[in-house]
Amino acid sequence: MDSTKRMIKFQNYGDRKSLEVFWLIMIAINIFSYILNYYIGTNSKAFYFSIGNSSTMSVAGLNVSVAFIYLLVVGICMYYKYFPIAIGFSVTRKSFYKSVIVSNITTCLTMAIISGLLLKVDRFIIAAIGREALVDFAFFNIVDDNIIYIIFSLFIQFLITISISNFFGVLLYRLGAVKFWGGVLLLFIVIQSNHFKIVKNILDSLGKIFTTRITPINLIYLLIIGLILYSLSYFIIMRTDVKVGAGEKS
Amino acid sequence: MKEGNNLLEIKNLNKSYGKTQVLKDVNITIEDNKIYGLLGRNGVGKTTLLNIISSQILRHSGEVLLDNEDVFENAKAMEQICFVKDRGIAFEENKIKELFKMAKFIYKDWDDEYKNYLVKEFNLNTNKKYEKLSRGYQTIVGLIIGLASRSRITIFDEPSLGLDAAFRYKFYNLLLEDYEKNPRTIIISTHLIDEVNNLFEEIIILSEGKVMFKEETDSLMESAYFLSGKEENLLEIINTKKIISREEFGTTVILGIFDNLSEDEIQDLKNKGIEISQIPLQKLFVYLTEQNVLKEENI
Repeated sequence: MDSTKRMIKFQNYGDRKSLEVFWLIMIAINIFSYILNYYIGTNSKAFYFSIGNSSTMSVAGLNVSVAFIYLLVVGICMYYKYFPIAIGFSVTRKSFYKSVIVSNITTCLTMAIISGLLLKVDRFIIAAIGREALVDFAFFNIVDDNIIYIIFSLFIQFLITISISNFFGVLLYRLGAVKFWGGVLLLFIVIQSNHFKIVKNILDSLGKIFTTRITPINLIYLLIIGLILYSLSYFIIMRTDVKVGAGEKS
Repeated sequence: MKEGNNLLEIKNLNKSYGKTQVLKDVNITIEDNKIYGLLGRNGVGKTTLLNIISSQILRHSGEVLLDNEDVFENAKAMEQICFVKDRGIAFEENKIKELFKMAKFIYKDWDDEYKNYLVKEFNLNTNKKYEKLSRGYQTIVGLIIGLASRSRITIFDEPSLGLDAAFRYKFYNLLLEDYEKNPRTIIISTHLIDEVNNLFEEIIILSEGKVMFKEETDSLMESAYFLSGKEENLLEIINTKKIISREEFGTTVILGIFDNLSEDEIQDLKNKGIEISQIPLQKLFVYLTEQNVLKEENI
């Protein structure tokens, strides 16, 4: 077995544990939510631990929102968690990065499959507890679209999310917390400033691609964004030292 | 590969942190199946050198070649190197048994049976979290990974940090025992020189970011003597040999010399009532590096 395969196996071991914990918690929350919303009664317009509006609700839809947060956190923490131990265990940066990409893809696929299946089942449970299910999401329609399309849509959205958080994770590791968050603050000021409307417009356009139904053109745009972010992250990580801690020894 | 073949070649290696140049044109050849001692005072670049060999950090210029291939981003070369750091490893919140499982994934020659044997020898509780271990036991986890990795080059940076004397000697004995059965190249960077000098086959002394000495331990030790006697009987030596230390007790002078003494010279000194004894490695190291520091500072 070559070092990339060993690294993938090693990272998969850690990822699996995190995913298991994540889904155990989410499914427990989902069950609790169904029970809670059932006992509130059909006359109530309130809904708990779910997403929706005054007339419709989706418990499994909450999973998708939380999954985005999970992927942001996973991507950002990845380099502090795995990079030092991988390089410390004599894995090359290239092998490590290949395993990061495999890990990102498998994590997103797992998230998409579980989220998609739960979304498909969700409307039947919502109906069973006497409520009306939310079926029309920004990326797909639970009733009209088939499960493959739903999973594919989720997978692409998750993958682009993790490519962004992966890029942030590399920058955070490379620059350190002070420079990184300083940069984020600066970017925020630039976006808010009227002098740099072009930056805001670009981000708005990207946001629209990201929050609409996937079309072939959108898919190409999203994949190009993902490719650029992964390439930039690779370029940076290939030139990054393992941090040996404060008061670096010589 | 036969013993004595060049395994690792470090050529014109330079590394700076900001404006401070830590390594200056370092050239070292490491042979197969030998135990090396990497010595140097604090801040001379030992850990930086080891970090570069194991590709933890990037170099500014120079080469690090394993079997004539650059080690950086070379998976074939890197999987033959195991670097056990003196600091805690990542994944501090993980249990020890999980860390060993990870090491098993990564090191292709990992010996799980030997790992189990070492766990018993050190009486290590593998169900504990790494962060909950004492400093000594954290060091032991690293030592077990280093030994059980069976890597062709195993590097230990300060392997005795936090270990009590009993565990230190246990480690030295286990290392020698395993080295006899599974010869490989081992590099040990340590400040407890006298404890381990019998392990070292060759010694590399770094000073001010450069290689000051790289010699077989025996040959280095054979060039370092204490001569003790009346000063008038030592005058010839004082004038012709390299003196690295001098102490006086009344009329008796104790000279540390770092030079070769011929059989005739030794006999002549003995005839004059001069006592000759070997300088322990730790003292020799202190004298040599002290002289270099003084020279660098023009004192």
